[in-house]
Amino acid sequence: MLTRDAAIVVENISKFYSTPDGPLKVLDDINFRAEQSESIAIVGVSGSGKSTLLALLAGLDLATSGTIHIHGEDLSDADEDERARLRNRYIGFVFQQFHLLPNLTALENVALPLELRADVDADRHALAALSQVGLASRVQHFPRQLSGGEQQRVAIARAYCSRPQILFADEPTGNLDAKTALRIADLLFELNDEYSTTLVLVTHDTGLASRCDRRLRIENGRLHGE
Amino acid sequence: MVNRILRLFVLPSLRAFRRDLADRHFIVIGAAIIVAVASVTAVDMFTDRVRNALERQSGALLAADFVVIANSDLPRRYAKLAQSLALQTTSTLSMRSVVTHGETLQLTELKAVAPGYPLRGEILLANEPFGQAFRSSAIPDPGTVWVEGRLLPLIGATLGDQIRIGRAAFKIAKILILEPDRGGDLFNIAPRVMLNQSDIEQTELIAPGSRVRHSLLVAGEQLSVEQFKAQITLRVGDRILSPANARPEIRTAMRRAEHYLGLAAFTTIILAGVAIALGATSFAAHHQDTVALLRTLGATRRYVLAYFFIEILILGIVTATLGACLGTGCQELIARTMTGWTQAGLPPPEASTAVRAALMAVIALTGFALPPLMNLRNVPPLRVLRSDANARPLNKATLAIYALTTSAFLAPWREGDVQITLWSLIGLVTCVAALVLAGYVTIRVVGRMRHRSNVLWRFGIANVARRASLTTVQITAFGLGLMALLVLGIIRTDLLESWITSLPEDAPNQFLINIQPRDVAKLTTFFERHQLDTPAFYPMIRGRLIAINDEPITPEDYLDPRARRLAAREFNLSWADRPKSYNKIVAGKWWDPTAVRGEFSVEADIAETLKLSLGDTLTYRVAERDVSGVISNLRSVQWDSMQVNFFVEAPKNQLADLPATFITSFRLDSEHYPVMRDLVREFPSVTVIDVAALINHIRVIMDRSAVTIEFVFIFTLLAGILVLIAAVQATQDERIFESALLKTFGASRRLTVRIISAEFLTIGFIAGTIAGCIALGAGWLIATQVLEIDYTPTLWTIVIGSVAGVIGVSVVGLIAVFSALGRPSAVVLRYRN
Repeated sequence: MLTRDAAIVVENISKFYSTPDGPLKVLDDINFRAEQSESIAIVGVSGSGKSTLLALLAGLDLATSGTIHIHGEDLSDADEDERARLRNRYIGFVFQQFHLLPNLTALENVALPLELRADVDADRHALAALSQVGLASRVQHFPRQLSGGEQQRVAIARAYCSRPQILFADEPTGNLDAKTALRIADLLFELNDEYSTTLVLVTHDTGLASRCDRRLRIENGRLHGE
Repeated sequence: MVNRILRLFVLPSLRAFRRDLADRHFIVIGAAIIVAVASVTAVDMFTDRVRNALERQSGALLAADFVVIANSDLPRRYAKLAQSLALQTTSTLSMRSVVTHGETLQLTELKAVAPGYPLRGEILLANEPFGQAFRSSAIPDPGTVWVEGRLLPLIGATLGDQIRIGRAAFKIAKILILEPDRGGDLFNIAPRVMLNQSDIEQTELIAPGSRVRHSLLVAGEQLSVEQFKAQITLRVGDRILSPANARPEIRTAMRRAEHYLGLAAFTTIILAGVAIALGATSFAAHHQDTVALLRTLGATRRYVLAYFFIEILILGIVTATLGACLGTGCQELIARTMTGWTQAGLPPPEASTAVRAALMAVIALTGFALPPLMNLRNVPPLRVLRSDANARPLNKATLAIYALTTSAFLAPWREGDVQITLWSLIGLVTCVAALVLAGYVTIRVVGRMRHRSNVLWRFGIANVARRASLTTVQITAFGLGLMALLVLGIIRTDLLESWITSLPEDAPNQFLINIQPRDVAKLTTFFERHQLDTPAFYPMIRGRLIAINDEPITPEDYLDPRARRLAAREFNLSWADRPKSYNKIVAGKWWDPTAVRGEFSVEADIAETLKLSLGDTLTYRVAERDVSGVISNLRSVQWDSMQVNFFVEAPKNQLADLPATFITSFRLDSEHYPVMRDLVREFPSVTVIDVAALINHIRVIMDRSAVTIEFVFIFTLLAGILVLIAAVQATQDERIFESALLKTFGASRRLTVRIISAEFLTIGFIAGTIAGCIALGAGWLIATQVLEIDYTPTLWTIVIGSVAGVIGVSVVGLIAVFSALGRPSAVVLRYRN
């Protein structure tokens, strides 16, 4: 029996999609746990179910069966809005596509999760986060005025600005050149260490995966530890 | 708490509003609101002002805003009440009395006026009969009278002569050309003599039992007049006259203009609503990623809803304010062109109209924009990882009910418009259903033809067929916009033409009545001698309707006051063997002149008032003789045409042996006016009625209404163009992406433009042709059933619809995508991915 006070506890997770040819199994009986400040890389080939697992862990989607606990709170029992509140409280994200809002400045993008908490000091915290990722001089720039690497740094600042206990990163270096990717990875791990965040990283990049404490491989929807 | 709401909802929404000002879908929504509010403000404000002005104008026909009439001295409390409400008052006494000049006697209509008369309108005087008219701001001096020009030949007097009224003598000081409250029935009254009320006592005409009409004239602020109306308690037998009974000639023209303007404003709102709905749908589609991210970062569904609702509300408030300002400015511009229309000028606009229009915008926004925006809360956060994760599409039936309810809310439900509005809504639903169905079927048919055409068209048509559902929406939107513009455009032309034809430049402005049969030939010679066109002379026989289907009738048989009056008074009957060219038989058949049975032709409105039908037998008493006949046809008569018209006509052989006088009307240009002096001298028993001033008045109103109609049509046109833009934008991104793909595969920019043009041409042609077909029927319905004007359906409507569709959709479509075609394909494709 797994204790549920870890950062993430996944029990018997399965995910099926309905297709015209019958149910398609994407994840099959997944079990694992992640402790606070641990970093885990989920690796696997395209279509193996990595992103689906990430979506379930972050409460962006619901499992067909099984349970997920985030800091003891059961995601599978929560409705959509409760899951949103849990995300706002515990979770930060970094995406391959950066997902910055194009009409918001770097500062406004970073301040967004704090504003959703009605944080009165949103702008001040956002400015500090941007300074931390080396973008103090670009705070009023819009995403289109920033390079790919800079956009991802803004996304990282946004993710850490709200001091999440868990950070999910979906191919965070996938859209960047090797040199920039390396700098972004360094930044990610530095901040992870600094804030003792639990990092769950989905990646193809074996180099990046090797920097994590643990690696979990998904093959045909099933999880294999390394 | 307030701070938290501000920080959490209002400020982010305000920021989003500021940022989205650059979003083209947001701009379309805002522009649609501005156009709708401006249109409604301009039309409502303007028609309110004109209606008020007309009421005053009609008030001018009463010489006041409100008149209390009594057959004995008016109680002082009436005037006291008026004065307590700060209303102006004056009074008149009217009676029939004989005036004498030497040995000549003549029955006249005396009117004794007090200082202040008239409170509304003006008196026109001349220094000689048929002389140059000038305005008077006074009333006759004591000891003098102003008389109607036609009195002088009747009594053989000239200006400056003395006449006697009762026991007093008066000097004829001026010729009275026009007084405001002359009364509607120009043909049944004796010549007017106006004197100062202070002289009435010495005439000793007023004695117990005299038939004197005492009138208290009241005028002032509209609100005070309304209060006066509400608070006054009349003695038994006293009655009131309000401006509701304005001249029918002006009322008809204005009623049509108001109906048209109301229809145009409603159409503009609906078109703006379509543009808002399309814009909001595209706006929502564009914001799905934003919502997914917000939800990923922890925003609840309620937060998402509030965020967009507040943002769109801010847009509504800002654009509605702009629209109200624009509308107020536009109606002021229209009002400026009206200078000289009314003596008093247009009353100031009411600010509440702009507020009402702005509220309508909020309703339009809520009704048309909210459903797609509300659906944003259903965007799954999963979309941040999977771009194909979308919100479940809205239920089309729910959307339709929502849109229809909103339309019903926005429709004008003013008194008198209810039936038209109801029909407009039914028409709207029918048109949309027809467009959807026709569009869908045509897309299917066209889709099958794509294999028979060249590559260019195949690609364009393939797109049309491939996006069948979206194209149907586009065709419906384009079609609705085009159809509305076509219908309003065609009707506008027909309406303006109907005014011109109903009151052409050569419309008669002189009436001669009381022409004895023996004078007809002499008058013909008179006209020939003065090289004037000889007008047609029509017999006129006075008769009272005494029985319908052999049942005697009395005024008490009717509830309708008009029917009661008609049952109580004598009719002017006439005989004719042929229908007048300007009358239209609307039921039954004109008679065979050789037939011997008694027949009548009855004007359709009066038949309805008196509840008469074809085949009913009417009995008239004419000069102690009863004349019976069946109603063999009903005629529609344009009373505003200034032609001679009769309520009831009969075959010649039925009435020819009864005592008749003749009537004629003709056009007299101002340079020929002196001829009338000769005519009056040569034919003293003929009564001349000069309606030139009245005609000028009607014409000015029609001209100004025409300007307004053109003006308001511009708003409808703008709303129509917005629909085109919004509908094109709905698939703009997809087209830009496809173009980028085509260019990547080696297609030149020119070929890409041609392929997109092929698609727009196809959609434009389908939408325009269907719109043209529907407009043909809708135009006929509105013209004949609502505006009651002649309408000539023409197949050109369909051709114009097709061409307008092809040109409109292609031009707007290409403008929308043209700039994006210059962007490098890589940028477009990367952005898309």
